[in-house]
Amino acid sequence: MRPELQTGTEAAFYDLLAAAILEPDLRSILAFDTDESELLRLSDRFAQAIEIGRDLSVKQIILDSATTEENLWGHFVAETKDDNKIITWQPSAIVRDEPLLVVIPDLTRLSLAAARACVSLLGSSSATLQRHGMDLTWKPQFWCLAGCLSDRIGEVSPHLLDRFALRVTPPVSLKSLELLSPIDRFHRLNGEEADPKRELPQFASDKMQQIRALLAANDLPELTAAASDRILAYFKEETGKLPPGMRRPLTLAKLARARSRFIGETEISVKEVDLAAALVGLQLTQKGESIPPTEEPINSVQNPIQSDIRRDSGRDSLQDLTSDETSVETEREVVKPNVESSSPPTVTPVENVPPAVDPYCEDESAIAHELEPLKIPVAMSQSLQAGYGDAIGTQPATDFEDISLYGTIFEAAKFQGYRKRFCGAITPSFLIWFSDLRSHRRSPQPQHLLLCAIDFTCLEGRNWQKAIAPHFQDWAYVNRASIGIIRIGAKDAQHRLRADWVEARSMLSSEISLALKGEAGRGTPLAHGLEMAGDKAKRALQHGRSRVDRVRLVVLTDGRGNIPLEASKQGKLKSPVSREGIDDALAVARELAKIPRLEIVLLDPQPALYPALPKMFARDLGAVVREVDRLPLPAKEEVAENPQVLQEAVLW
Amino acid sequence: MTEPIGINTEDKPLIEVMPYDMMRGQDKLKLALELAFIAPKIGGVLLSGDRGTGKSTLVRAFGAMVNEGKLPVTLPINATEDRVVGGWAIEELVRKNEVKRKDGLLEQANKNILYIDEVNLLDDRIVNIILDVASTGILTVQQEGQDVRKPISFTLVGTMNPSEGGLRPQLLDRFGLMVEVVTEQDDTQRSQILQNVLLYEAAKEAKANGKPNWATPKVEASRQKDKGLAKKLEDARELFKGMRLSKETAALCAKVGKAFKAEGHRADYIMALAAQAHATLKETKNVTREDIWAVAGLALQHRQRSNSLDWDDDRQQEVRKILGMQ
Repeated sequence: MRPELQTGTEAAFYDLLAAAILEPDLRSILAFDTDESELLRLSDRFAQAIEIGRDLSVKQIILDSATTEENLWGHFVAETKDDNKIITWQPSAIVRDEPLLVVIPDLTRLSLAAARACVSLLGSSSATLQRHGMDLTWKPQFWCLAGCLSDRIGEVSPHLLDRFALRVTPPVSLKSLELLSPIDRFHRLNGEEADPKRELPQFASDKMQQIRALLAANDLPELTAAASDRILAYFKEETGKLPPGMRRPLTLAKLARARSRFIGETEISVKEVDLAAALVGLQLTQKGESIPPTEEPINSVQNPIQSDIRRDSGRDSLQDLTSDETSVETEREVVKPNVESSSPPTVTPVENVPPAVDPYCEDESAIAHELEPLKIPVAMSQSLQAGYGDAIGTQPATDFEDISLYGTIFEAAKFQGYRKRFCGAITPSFLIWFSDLRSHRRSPQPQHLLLCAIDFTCLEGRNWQKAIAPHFQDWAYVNRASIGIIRIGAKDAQHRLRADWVEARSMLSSEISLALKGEAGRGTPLAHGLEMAGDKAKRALQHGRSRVDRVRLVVLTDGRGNIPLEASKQGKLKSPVSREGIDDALAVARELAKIPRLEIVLLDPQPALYPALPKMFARDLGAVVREVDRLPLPAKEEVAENPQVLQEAVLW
Repeated sequence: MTEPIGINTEDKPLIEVMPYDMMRGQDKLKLALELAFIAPKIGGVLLSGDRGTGKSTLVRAFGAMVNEGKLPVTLPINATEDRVVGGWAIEELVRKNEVKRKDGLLEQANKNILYIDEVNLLDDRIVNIILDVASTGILTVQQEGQDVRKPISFTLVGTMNPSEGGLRPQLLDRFGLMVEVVTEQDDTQRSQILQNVLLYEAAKEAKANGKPNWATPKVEASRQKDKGLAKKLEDARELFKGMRLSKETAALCAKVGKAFKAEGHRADYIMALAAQAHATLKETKNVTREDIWAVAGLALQHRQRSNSLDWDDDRQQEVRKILGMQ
């Protein structure tokens, strides 16, 4: 395989863009391991490529965590017409079906409304909008570029990921390109001259130029039975890649077809299938062994080869469709490649090619998304405080609780003309009826908080994960609680005299597992950790618009705090300490016990030294005590090999 | 580059979809759709299964085939209540100050197919409305100055991916038949799917360019076959109207339903209707045990008391034994 055609190279990247512009079903691209600014660089190139290839001025819009239903589909706006103020429905760019490139900087943070819209729109043969009196049907034809870190792909709904046809590892060279300034971006949206800094490389520009001719051509290459079998071979069960459904094989087929169109083939050959697979990083392996590459000569843009598979073979395979056809054979038009076009860079330094990412890495990644991630969540409580998260839309209301002024006024505005005519001239200038009332529809906000204060210096030889797991699984997950981890005495703490803090909206966040992976450091700022836990609990229960009504604090410690509270606060240890750290921690524990609606559990690691200390803390905290199991002693053979293992086990 | 957007139902564009005849595999799914068309009283079909198995494509192709090329009335997951039950025509209201009611999707789908893609992702509020109308057969709207009460019947066709969550039992029960759609495993069929999709797209491109190409005759041939099948289904529908359920068929359906501890009597009733519809596909009014056997799984799968949605070959064999078939 030629190195420049492998995934991660510049040539491969532009080949994929060209395919996405040429083939309607390949318009959605997922780019791995790019940050937001890198993705914007890619989107600029993508937009420019579309402009050249399709001769269109493309608008870019961004979908992110703040995208609402109104942004996506449209909303009512007031406008002046013939000196009269009227309200009209303003459809969104997606609904207007303008030439559009939708950019999603981080798929893991996409709002629920946008994720649901992507599932409905991407790759669909038709879209329907049925909102607020609107009744629209259209064929969605926008392009989409999304970014996602490959090691966080488990946080995204597989259903949503499945909508992204092409997967790409962007080349390193593109990441270093200059980012378009906001002003340039603004000019660009107004259709002004492209900034020369973001010109495509010549070979890529030439490739995009070819697309116009290819679109005008009437003949698409036919998929032969041999090529079809080859495509399926990439998704055989033996390779461990038998995917659900047919989308992935179809994507490979269309990618191979796009390549075949560029080189003027009338049939899609096995060779083009292999080259297409290489572009996205698919490998054809069987039980770990590589299958020898096809013996066909490598095609190139400059030297189209004659396919070795006769077109008749493909036709036979479709016999069942054509048994009663009248043999209307039309002359095939073939667009020959532009032999004058410039070549892609033929030598790509290996060090510049990023490590290839499995294009369907979600199949192997641990599931880190919520159960039913695309469903509108239901509030966990019927209390008035429930569901007071971010506003995600409006809904009809029967009282004045959390009224949406915008929604209510625009609902009423629709009827003003009629109402004034109906009620006569004595009416006030703007009539709002009870049925106009609209309240905010809000995403539920966690009403529970799980705080875990973990002393990393007492975990050795203890099955502490087993002890802590029920609090995550049976309490935090079930109650959709937000989570806070207070790390006490972790080796990688930001300051060795202080505890630190990791926060996550739910237990599925990867931050949680990272926070729990800490190793033991040298100091144990227990008093500081407990004080931090108290602050967090009070803030959640008492401050601002927080809706938390229940906090569970799980403390895992042997009680041997050796950093006084003062030292933690000042960041300096002034003199040797004796039991000051323990006394401070006990004093803080007594304060924690006074916080209402705070439920405390102490996990006792049953230390060999001072075994009564954890129970003393439990008493002052007013906590329920749960014992942490010791790990089994090492096996005889292990001890025989390394006697130190036994010494360590005894010390536990 | 854009296809026109239809604002009103009447002038919606004819978005062309692949001919039904070109769909390969998924025989159970096709059978369920055809039975529900022949016998609208079945109440609908739920297609649940892997993503990318062509569920939505097949429903659209079927809808277009039986509805002169028009796509079925589609209820999207973003629908608001006013569009489901009907409301004021906003355009007329704000521009002309005229109060005119605009039918909702349930009314548009009256005596036809109401298709819900990703039915398990629908807002609970909308699900409740559909449930009310589907169970009573009457649309009642008493809000925003509207006073509407009219009989409505539609064939509910829903597709869903169970990994994104299930359906409430009440809604599940409203779907007369259920098919668990799995990824096609047969290599020949898989290969044929790839070739047919690409072939169809080649013909579509040619149509857009106004000139036929090598793929055009093949797709046209399939369109002709679709017309033939649509006619056959219409005939079967007419035949079904004159059918009476025999005591023997009723007894056998009840026996199967009882053996599988189906919840309620709807399973027996739907099974009987589906068996009759199955017979009409063979252009006969004579319902055999073979007809009941062919449709039993479709009617029972989602009504098992165990809440299991599994229906495997063993259960299919069990039906055979219950029916006293060899």
